[in-house]
Amino acid sequence: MIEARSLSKRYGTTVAVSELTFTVRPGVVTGFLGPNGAGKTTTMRMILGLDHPTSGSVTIGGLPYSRLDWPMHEVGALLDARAVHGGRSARSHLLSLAQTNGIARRRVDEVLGTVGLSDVAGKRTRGFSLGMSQRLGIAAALLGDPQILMFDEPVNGLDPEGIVWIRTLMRSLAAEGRAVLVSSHLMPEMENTADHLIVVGRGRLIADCSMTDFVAGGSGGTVLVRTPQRDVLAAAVAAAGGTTSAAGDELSVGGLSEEQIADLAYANDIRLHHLAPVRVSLEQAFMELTADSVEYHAGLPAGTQSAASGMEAGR
Amino acid sequence: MTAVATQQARPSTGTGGRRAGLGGALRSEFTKICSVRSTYWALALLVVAGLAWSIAFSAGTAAHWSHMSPQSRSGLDAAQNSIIGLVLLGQLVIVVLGALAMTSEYSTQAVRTSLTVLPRRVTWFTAKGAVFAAVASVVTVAAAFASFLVGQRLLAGVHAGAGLSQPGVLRAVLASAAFVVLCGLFSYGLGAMIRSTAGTITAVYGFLLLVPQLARALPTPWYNDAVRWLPGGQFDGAITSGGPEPISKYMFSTWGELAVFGGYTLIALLAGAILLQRRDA
Repeated sequence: MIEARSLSKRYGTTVAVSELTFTVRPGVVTGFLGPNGAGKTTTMRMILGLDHPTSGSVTIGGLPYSRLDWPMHEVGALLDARAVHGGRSARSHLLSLAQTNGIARRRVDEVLGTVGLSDVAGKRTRGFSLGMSQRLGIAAALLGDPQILMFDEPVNGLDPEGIVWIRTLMRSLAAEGRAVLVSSHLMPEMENTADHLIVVGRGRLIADCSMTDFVAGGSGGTVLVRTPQRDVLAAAVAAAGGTTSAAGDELSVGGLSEEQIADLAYANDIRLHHLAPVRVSLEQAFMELTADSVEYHAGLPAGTQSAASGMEAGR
Repeated sequence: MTAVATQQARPSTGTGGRRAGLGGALRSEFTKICSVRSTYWALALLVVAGLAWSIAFSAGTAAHWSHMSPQSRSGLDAAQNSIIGLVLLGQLVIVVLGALAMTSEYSTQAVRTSLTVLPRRVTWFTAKGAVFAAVASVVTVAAAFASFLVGQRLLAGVHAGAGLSQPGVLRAVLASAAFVVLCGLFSYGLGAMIRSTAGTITAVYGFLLLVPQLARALPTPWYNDAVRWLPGGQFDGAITSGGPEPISKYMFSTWGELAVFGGYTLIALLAGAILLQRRDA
């Protein structure tokens, strides 16, 4: 379990992380979400004791990272897959890590098998593709069989096969009861992977909730209705405790489910031409929440802003 | 996808230590230094440079011997001249190797992983420096003796060779090797401070080679007072075996000069360790 309390980091006058308080629990994949420059990597570096917090603290099972007796058995982390000495073979690289924590040599070959790199174990890592480097980084994280795993932007630059592989891996690690923290700025990736979300923008905590709540919260749980008897329906909805707002010739209904609205219309003899819940994607929910906290706006004319975010989704 | 690491038995924590510490760090750093080719290239270059100088000088002297004046013959310090190449050229090589031992961690960003698996930074720094010093010492001492012996063999034909049992000779050989190793450790310490390979090598070369030259611009009395404290640059003079000890009244003895440079090295190592501990990785 990772616990951050009022974690803050300032570089000069720039605030990278501000008063972050959150908990990463075992058995679930926790998505760590935020635009570029939101402070995700800085937070992860502070969790690992690489950066010293300006104030606040973060602990692993109650201890600061630097006081863990056998760090590799507690936490496995992949921050940057390319951050290895390219002149060293995959096996030597992993062996040098294993030896620091007294991990047996055969475990190195075991994890190489797990990530499917046995055939290139003796090759220097300089020639590795990004996908192979990611696998090597994950092998390193798994070496100590830790109960907490952290991945920083693990799917960046991966092909679809690699993305599916990592997603499946993270899900099965969580299913084994481990705590998995994975950061990303790619919303669709989280939608398929994370159970819980921690959303940050400009170093501040924006949301800390389950994936379901996050998506529901973003859409406001509205239902879009088209009917020739708009005013009648609006009155009925109001009487039933819901809220309405006109959206063109349609009515946007809040506070009631589509079943409740359909029953209400049937009971009041109102004809419905269209009835559909507004499914706001994680992407949209995220855009709404972080609209004010993106560090660098593209400076697009107002009208094209939503089109631009649509393109972002396709990337 | 193959099976993910299932709930298998925890890997043995090996040596039964209470926590990850110096023993594991030493093994890890030994694996690291032995598993990159640059180590072998640099150390081979060190040995070859020392030997090449010794052969060139000694063979040249032997060939020229019959034309040399009696003064030149008696003034010849055969031991110093056979190993001075290892000092002059070897320091250039070992500085690069010592810097790389630390700065390659930063240039590849591997330092993040290294400090994640072993967050006790001073332990890591100590282990890395100790492994570097051990490997460098073995190779440098061997190179010093090899350079010396090859040189004396070539000079034996004209009966000008020195022997290890002669006064000051063994001292000259060992002090030369020690000086080269200290140059590497000095560079290692500065590497932890500066972090960039090019910056570290430039700074160390500047300190070892440039500072002693710039000092010559001082007024003579000042220079005479300062020369014994200069880093490294005067060391070739200090490794004499034939002349008076110390070679001039302005210098310390060979061991004294080595101790002065050892002091500079210690300062570099301590400053490196302190900065490593305090800064963000």
